[in-house]
Amino acid sequence: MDVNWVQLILNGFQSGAIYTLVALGLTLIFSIMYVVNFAHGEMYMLGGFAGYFIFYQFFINKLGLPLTLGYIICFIIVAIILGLFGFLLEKAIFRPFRGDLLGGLLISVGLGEILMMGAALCFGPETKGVPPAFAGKVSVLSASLSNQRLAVIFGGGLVMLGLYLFLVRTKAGLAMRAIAQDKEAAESLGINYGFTSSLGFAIGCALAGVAGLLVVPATYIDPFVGSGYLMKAFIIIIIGGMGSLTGCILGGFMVGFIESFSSFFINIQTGTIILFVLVIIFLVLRPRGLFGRAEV
Amino acid sequence: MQKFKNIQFGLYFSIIFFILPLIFRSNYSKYTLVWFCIYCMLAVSLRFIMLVGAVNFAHAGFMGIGAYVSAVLMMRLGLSFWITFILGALVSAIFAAFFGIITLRLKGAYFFLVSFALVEIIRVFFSSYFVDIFGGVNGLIGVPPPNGILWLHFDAGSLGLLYLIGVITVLVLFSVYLFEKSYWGKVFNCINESDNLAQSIGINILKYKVIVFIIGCFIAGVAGSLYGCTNGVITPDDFTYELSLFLLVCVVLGGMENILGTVLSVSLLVVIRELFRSAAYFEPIIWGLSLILILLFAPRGLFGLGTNIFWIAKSTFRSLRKKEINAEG
Repeated sequence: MDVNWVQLILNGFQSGAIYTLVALGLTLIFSIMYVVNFAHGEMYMLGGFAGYFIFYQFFINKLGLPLTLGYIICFIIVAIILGLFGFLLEKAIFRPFRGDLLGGLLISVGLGEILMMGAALCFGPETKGVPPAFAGKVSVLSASLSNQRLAVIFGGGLVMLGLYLFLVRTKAGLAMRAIAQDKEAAESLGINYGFTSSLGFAIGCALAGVAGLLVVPATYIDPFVGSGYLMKAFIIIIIGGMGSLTGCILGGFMVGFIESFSSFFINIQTGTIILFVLVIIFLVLRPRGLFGRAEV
Repeated sequence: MQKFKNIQFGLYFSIIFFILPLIFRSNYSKYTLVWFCIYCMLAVSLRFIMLVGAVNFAHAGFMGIGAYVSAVLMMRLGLSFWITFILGALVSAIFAAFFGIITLRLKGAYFFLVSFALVEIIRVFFSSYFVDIFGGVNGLIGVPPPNGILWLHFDAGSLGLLYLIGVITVLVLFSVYLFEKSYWGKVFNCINESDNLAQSIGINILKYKVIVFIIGCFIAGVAGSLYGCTNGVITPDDFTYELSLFLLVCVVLGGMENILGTVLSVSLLVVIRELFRSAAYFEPIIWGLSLILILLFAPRGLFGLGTNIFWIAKSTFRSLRKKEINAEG
């Protein structure tokens, strides 16, 4: 069998970047609020639909903007819209459940269902495609990669870099890290927990939305894609460790590579089962994941 | 006294249940009652697992294992229902034991995450592996009803099958109730309140959690094989995360305090579900919305609702009086 290794590795990088973005938002929310957001996959889905409606239907078809420019503007708009949406959601629904694992879990399950079926009712259940914003192809060694897929890898990398700089260089990022370390001590030093957790939730949602927008020109979008990405994000978090950003990035690319290789050599269903077996192995041997803190 | 009242109430409830099919004789009402029984078993067993603080999203998956194993044994090997339904539940319980020993020792959110992944894995397994045994995406068609004993017949849609499922449900609910009221129930309560404290006084948390999980999944397996017999068709899509969500809404609405709360909420939700049958598309929205509303406004469930309204009335009354006093002063 003629195996195109470079192609497989590039595919792994592409899906890994997306999974990492989704999982980063999830782990950020978890480390600040101690809430596992089951509606996170739906944020990804909403980002994809925003890409379809704002970028494709409005910018390209109505306004006639150039593809690349429209895409970049849309990128910023999606991040802002989903950020605001997440901020309001946190204030309206999640506020009583900060720090309450079970309550937050149940309420986000309910929210996810509403968003998913709401999207199916408003936008229609059929799959929608968006034309690639970056036309053309590049060939890397023996592999060929469309510019759009390259943009997914680079865009994902840029967003991750931005998140890192935000967390390390800004005051709000410092507040988030402080709360993740020790909530009571951070609050006693004057950090506004309510605002910080809303902001963290907003950033998490924006990350998932941006991931959706990045992928949509390369693949397709429908209202039911969310749960698949959510499951991958869970697997990444377990492998990488709850609340660890480094572990999240490493786990994300690991999952991306495993999926890329197993779907080529065996099939995609077996890839999912391999991931699950990996999770079980991790749970037995190293329950806190690669970089997670041991829970007290 | 309370215990006696509960048993009395349960007795009335089951008597009403057994008289109902004699009044409403249509096939439709029989099927509705059968669904009610199966959901009751599932919701009560899910609540039983949640007593030790583990939310099992894979409950529908364990039900699916029971349903598939029992149906495959009946259809491919021609075994009798009375053996296969125990075997199906046993396989489900054994699988639960393996899964539980690994995942239940973890603290925090891991168990929920893994069980969410597991239900999807079970669906993928039944739909794409061993297609000649499990029937792939189309599932198994023509699952036989239980074979009759003496003059009793349990054909699909017959009164016999309904009463059989009813009797099994009552037995399951009663034994879960007794289990909960025993010494074990107190241990579960202790683990749920604070597992560190429970561990410090010498309770082996993992042992209790795994046992509860196994029992819960055994019941789910029983419900699954009964589901297969009633429906005649099982497909991998019957046992997805959607069903787990419905069960979760039942448990949360019923509250954790009392097993009767769960039964009441199941009967309420089954009626709602039948009323909105035509708007099946909206169903997840209704469940999602009700889950959010219950959690925000009546976190203790149906039984808590009464006290909750009382509390709201009291607090508004108090604040009104405070305003009056302020205005006077």
